[in-house]
Amino acid sequence: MALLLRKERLDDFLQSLDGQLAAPVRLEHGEVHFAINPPVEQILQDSDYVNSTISPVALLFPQTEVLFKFKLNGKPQIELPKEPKPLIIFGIRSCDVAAMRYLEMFFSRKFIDTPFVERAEKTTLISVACQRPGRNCFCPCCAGGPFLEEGHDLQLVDFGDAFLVEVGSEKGMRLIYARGQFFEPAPYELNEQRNKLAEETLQKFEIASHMGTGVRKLTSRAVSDELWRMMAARCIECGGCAFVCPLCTCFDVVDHSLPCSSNGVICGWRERCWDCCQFAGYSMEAAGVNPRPDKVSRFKRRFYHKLSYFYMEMDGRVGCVGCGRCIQVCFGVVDMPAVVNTLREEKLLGARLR
Amino acid sequence: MEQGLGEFGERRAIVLAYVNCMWGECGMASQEFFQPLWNGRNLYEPVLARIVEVADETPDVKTFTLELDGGAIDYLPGQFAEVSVFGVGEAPFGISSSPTWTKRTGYIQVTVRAIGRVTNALHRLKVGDYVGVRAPLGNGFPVEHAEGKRVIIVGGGIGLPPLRSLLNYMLDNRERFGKITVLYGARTPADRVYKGELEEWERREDLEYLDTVDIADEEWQRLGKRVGVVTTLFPILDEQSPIDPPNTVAFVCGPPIMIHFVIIELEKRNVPDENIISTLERHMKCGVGKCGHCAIGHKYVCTDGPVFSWAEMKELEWMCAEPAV
Amino acid sequence: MVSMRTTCGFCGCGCGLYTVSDDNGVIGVIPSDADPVNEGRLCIRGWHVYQPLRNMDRIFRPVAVLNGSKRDVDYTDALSRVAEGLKKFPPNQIGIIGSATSTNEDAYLIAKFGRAVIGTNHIDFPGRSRLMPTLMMLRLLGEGVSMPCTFADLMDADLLLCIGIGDPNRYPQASARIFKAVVEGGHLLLIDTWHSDFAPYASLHISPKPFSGALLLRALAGILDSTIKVPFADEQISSITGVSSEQLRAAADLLLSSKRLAAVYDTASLMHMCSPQCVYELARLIKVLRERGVEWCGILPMVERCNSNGALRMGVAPMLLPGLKSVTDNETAQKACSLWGIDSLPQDVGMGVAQMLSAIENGELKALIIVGDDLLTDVPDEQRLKKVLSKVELLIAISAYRSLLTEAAHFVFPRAIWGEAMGTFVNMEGRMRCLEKVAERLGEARQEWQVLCDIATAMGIKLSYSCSDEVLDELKRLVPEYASIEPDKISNSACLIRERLSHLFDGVMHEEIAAPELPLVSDEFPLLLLVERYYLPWHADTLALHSSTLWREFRLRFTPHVFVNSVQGHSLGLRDGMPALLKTPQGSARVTSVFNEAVPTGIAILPEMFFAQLRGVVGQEKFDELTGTIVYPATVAAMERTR
Ligand SMILES: Cc1cc2nc3c(=O)[nH]c(=O)nc-3n(C[C@H](O)[C@H](O)[C@H](O)COP(=O)(O)OP(=O)(O)OC[C@H]3O[C@@H](n4cnc5c(N)ncnc54)[C@H](O)[C@@H]3O)c2cc1C
Ligand code: SF4
Ligand code: SF4
Ligand code: FES
Repeated sequence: MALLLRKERLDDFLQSLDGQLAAPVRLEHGEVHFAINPPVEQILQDSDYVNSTISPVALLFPQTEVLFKFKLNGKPQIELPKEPKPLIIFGIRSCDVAAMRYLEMFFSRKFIDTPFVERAEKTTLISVACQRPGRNCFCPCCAGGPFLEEGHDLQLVDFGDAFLVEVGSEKGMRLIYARGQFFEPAPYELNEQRNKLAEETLQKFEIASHMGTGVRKLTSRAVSDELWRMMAARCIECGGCAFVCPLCTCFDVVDHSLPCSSNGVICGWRERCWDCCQFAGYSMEAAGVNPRPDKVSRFKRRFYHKLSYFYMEMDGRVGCVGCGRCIQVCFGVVDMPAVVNTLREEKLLGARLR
Repeated sequence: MEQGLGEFGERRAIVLAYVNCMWGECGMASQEFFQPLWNGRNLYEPVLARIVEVADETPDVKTFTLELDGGAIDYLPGQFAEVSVFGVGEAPFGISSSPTWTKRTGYIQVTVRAIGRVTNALHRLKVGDYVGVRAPLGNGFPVEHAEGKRVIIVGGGIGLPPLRSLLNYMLDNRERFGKITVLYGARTPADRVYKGELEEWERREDLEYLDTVDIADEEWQRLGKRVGVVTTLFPILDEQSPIDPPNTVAFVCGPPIMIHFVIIELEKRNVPDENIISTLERHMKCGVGKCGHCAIGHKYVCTDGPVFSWAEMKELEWMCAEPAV
Repeated sequence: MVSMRTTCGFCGCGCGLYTVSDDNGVIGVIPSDADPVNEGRLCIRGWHVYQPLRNMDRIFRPVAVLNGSKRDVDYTDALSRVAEGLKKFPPNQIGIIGSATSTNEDAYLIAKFGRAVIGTNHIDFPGRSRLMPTLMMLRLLGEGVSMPCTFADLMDADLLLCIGIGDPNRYPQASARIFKAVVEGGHLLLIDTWHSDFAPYASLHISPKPFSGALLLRALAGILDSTIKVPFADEQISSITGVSSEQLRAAADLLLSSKRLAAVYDTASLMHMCSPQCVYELARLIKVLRERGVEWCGILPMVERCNSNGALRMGVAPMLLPGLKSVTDNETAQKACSLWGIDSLPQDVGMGVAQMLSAIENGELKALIIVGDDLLTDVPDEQRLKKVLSKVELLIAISAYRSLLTEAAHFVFPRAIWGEAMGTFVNMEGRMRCLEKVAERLGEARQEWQVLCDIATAMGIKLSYSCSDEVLDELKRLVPEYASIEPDKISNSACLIRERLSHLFDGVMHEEIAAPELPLVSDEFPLLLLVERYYLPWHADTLALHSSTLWREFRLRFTPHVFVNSVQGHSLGLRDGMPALLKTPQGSARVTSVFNEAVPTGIAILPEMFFAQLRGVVGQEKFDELTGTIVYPATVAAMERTR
């Protein structure tokens, strides 16, 4: 079923949604961030922006998150975080929707990660299909976009003065049922046009990353140690690639506490914060042994995890949705497409010696 | 059965399904063994536990006996617990008591060496203090796999806690297992944990017990006991009670370097890879397969392990192109 | 969720970022991708710069030693006691040690407080001495060279001359440009003793022997211009520097092929650019190259701390008034007097940090105000520091964290840390950056300018500003060159500070140059042991140590260790990460041997931070006369494996 949402009705539609609304806004110097309940007129619509600096999945899995608070007065008392409020993410890009679906799978696999899953259950994704890929985007190589066939709750396709609304889930359906007044049936031809648009968009991508080759090369061990060393030399272990990657889930857990000023009772909290497998302390063990002692082995680990077939078997997809954020953050031009292309050509750009 | 479980029913069902699939093969799976510790709880919320006893094992190792709020839990030997000292942090420890003992007393035990922040903070706690516990975690030893077979338990230093759990479990179910041999090596006599129990094992008739230390002290020399690394016990074993490879299951825990050499000895004696069972140690945080710290290859040591057979480890190394042990 | 724009407070790059806050305080950061400094990148420190705000292990309230015991005291009480105490000493017995992590506003107030309230020029910050050679260079070069150049300029150069820059993680944003330039086909001429991770990407890597950098640069200049005296024959140069004549020629050719040259060096590297001689020689080389047809030349001196450049420019130096004006410069002094409402400023050049420490030891300096914790890293000899501080009669510390400084202090004022303070920084490009207050201050923490104003007021000298902007305004009135600076125009040259120096140093090029004196290795002591700043600059260590992730990463490096390369290590029978015995003619110590392929054969590296534990092995540090920099003597050593 396809519906049409006239652009002049978008503001009203957004305002009619229950719960918090997260939507992209442009800041003073030009960066795009997702803001909570921004003024409707500031919300960016399709062609105004490429994607946000940090993926909106960070709204569900933030850099730091309090797991629980405690009070140590005799028997400890534990206070769990409040139930999350319903959240609607408007303007999320296709790649990030794909990432969100992966995270949902990951966080409810075997054990259910309460903080994430509780939020995810209350989150509705209204994505806007991309028609103007950015210079770092390569989602078609990773089944991450630019148009979604699955995963979204609602997907909006920009047709100038109106959005074609595609419903991808029951959640999306419910949202529309309750707000029928904003929508009108879409003419049938639009569907065809939509497919044409999707085709056209595919032609606009500036870079590609041959993930399949990467997967094959890693799984078959066809990469020389020398090449790994050369690539790892350019990594400065900043952790940025993992932090901006919407599929990266690693975290560290730490406690904080202090005596309460009024009565001396110790209060504190346990929180988790993003962590990265490129850090030496990440895998350091108690006895002082580090199974991944050098930068090369950590760098290798990162790409094996994202690309090797054996990992895919467990995770169901390559560990990349093609959002291109790691290209922006990497200090040494050893981001995902750069590495995959290096694996493919077995030659590293810029290398001089040997 | 799913119906009527309430708000968190779905989730619990998934956990149970997981447990079922993990243990289905060894026939160990049951809802009853998995007590409702996870039922409806926040995954990261520890259960409060009171320290009822602290025993000094060595100058830097203590065994804590814990009474969990909400009653005893059931678990498998080799599973571990995440123990929290509130305000300091959480760390994983192999449960060193046996499930059978827990059934009798209602307590669980962990044996902890003080090496860092959490462990030192734990050592400062006294009887009556509270800690947090999330348990049981991990897969545990495939006890069924060893049923009816000769069992060799090889422990090194502080690697003994999970093996103690296993041994005590086996001793409580003695008729289900064949001959049991314990090989224990430590750096010095003072570094040996569970000294009282070691003596008891040595005395027991239904158990073969051999131990050794790297560096002897006077007392040890006076008693004329063995000196040398734990692998030097194998030749003695060869004479005393030779290994019958396919019918032998070996459980090995200790420092990685010791595991490495013990596995070589076992391989020399043709013990099949599937019958060499060991544990992998990795830096762990969450214990539930989310934080990624313990990952090796595509496996998570906290949920897929920490117990792996040598066959699994080899496969893992090959798949992730990095050494596992 | 709210995001607020600010600047990373760790290194001299000064990356732009947004902090993300919710009900639980600051919970993360987002790099700014519109910022010309970092273009969306942050290094490990930047990603975790918010974490100290979540750490509660802080000093919350003023602490004072009363009747021999330490206790929390009331703020005003502490102020009046401090004021009373300070009045007891004549101005020349009082010193102030500032911090390169203070904002410009704070630094300005430190300079002003010292001069206008106390009346002393004994004002300095610990990293200052390492910047002095660079200041001299600025003076020497004259017109036509852009210094400091910007990060973006590095991308425009066709040749990058990188001298002693160490590993890529030391100065991340510069490294990013170096790697990008190389990937895009640019050339890198690397002159660095270390076989760092840049080496495989260099068109030419020259690895001179330790301390021979100056001679090497002179020899290069000599090849390009025959009128330049090189007091050694070619073979001698090869044997002293360890660089063959062919390599030198190749380097000269590479330099000559360049039309647009950018030179990058590390002001804190102990082995290369720190020595004034080296800087002179680089200046000479650049001059020659300009004459030989290099059209554009930029120089980027890299500095370790977020506001070393600012502290220097605000006058936290014994010989400088704000705006890099000399204390003997009458015009500026008069202007300052009228603006600050006082009759005269102290005219004599004051004591630097190193001199202050000696002056305390021999009883000439009796009272000391210390801001921040820079001393801890810059005077790594802990025992000496403790001894010196115990001799101070009145020690006032403005600090956020407990350390041996606050242990020794008679009064401690809690300091607002990054995220609680606001103001501006000057990064290594000379770019003004805005630091925003993104979190509520804990306890009674205040910025140092506020504390100093309060102390002044308690001393009866009215000093007050309503906000840090007002401080900046006053500075702009004092230093007209800074008046047009607009720090919030991030992508505009309006935020760049560019000054020419006219009256600081004599600007004479020294002709004589000697071979470095290195102790001779022997069979008994086959290694040359060097103390080096090796790790990425952690800036105020205490700040890094209060971020849980950085603490974890940093702690790995806590046991004293010595680097050798693996070939060398194996030949000595060492094992990676295993205990070893380090022996030198002075003594021996237990260390961990760590294999590091960047270390050339024949050399062992002792990271500077372990100097304290291993000082008996290394011998006493010396002070470089001209700049007051701490110089570590090289020594011969042997290493063997222990159990
Ligand atoms: C499955 C498993 C079972 C274990 N069983 C026992 C046991 O029965 N008895 C026992 O004494 N110890 C056991 N350990 C080791 C124990 O978890 C660590 O000693 C403990 O985590 C150290 O915590 P800490 O806070 O005191 O150390 P820290 O101060 O955090 O760190 C000290 C060192 O330990 C490393 N480290 C930190 N956290 C961990 C971690 N979670 N796992 C491994 N290394 C870490 C750090 O990188 C650092 O090098 C076990 C570990 C695992 C993974
Ligand atoms: S972003 Fe680049 S430099 Fe940073 S950790 Fe990742 S690979 Fe390394
Ligand atoms: S430490 Fe330096 S390079 Fe790293 S984020 Fe901060 S300012 Fe940027
Ligand atoms: S400990 Fe967190 S994933 Fe295993």
